[in-house]
Amino acid sequence: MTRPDDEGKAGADRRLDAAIRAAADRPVDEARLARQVLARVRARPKPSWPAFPNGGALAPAAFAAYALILVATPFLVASAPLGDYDPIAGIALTAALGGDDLLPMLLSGGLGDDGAGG
Amino acid sequence: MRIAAGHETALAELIALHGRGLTLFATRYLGDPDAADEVVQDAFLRVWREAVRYDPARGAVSTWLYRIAANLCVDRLRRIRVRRFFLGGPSASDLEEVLPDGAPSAERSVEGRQALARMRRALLALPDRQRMAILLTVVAGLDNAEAAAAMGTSRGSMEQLLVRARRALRAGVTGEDDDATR
Repeated sequence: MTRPDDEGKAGADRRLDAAIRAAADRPVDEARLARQVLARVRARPKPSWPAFPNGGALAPAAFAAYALILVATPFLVASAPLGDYDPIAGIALTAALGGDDLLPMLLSGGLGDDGAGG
Repeated sequence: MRIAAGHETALAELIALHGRGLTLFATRYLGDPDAADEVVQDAFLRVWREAVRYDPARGAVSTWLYRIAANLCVDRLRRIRVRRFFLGGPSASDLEEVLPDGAPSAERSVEGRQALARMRRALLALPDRQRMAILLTVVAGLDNAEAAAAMGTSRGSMEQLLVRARRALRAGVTGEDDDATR
């Protein structure tokens, strides 16, 4: 059996909720909303691989590939014999190490037998 | 799920079922009808694109939809506030005055308009989580368990948020009434 206080509180809550719903009301054109959503759906086909939450399927893969190149390049360069210096790898190494100071040293030390870096 | 299979009619049915509730929720949470319309479109678009991830064991489609919308609203509100802080612009309460024609009948009388305006201001003045809780349950029609799942919280926390929100709304609306009669 509900107490009078409970009925009063419940009634007050119901009246408040009704006022909230009235204040929240606004015209909504559901047909227009559906048209807009479907137009966007058709403009951008579903990806063939699962989409990432931020919507960019390629960005994480590209970032991972870039990170792998940065990490692997120093080891590849270090393992190459003298005279086989690769300028692309050298630039990547410079970028990975974060400075321009190494670049002249690398270039001067890695021109190879024919002086053309090859 | 038919949406996961690429059936546009299924998406249209979902929009017909939840488009209005979602729009009302987003409008009162953000205080900006245009931003709300964009967020609602984004929510349905996300459902379309990520339908393969939906797990029925975790809850109803509506709960999943509102969870997506709630997260989008939180992100959007953050961007709106940052933009207003750096660039200025109308506050959320100012935007209340530019709602389109075709307003509900309660707005036709002066007193009715004032009462609605007071309640809208009181809603916008609520802390974000309280506002979200009250809008999900009272406006969008989710039960407490569904609303808690949409907000990623417990049912007990949801009920606490609702108690505090109702108390704050009564105080906000009553306080303005007192000011108006002085």
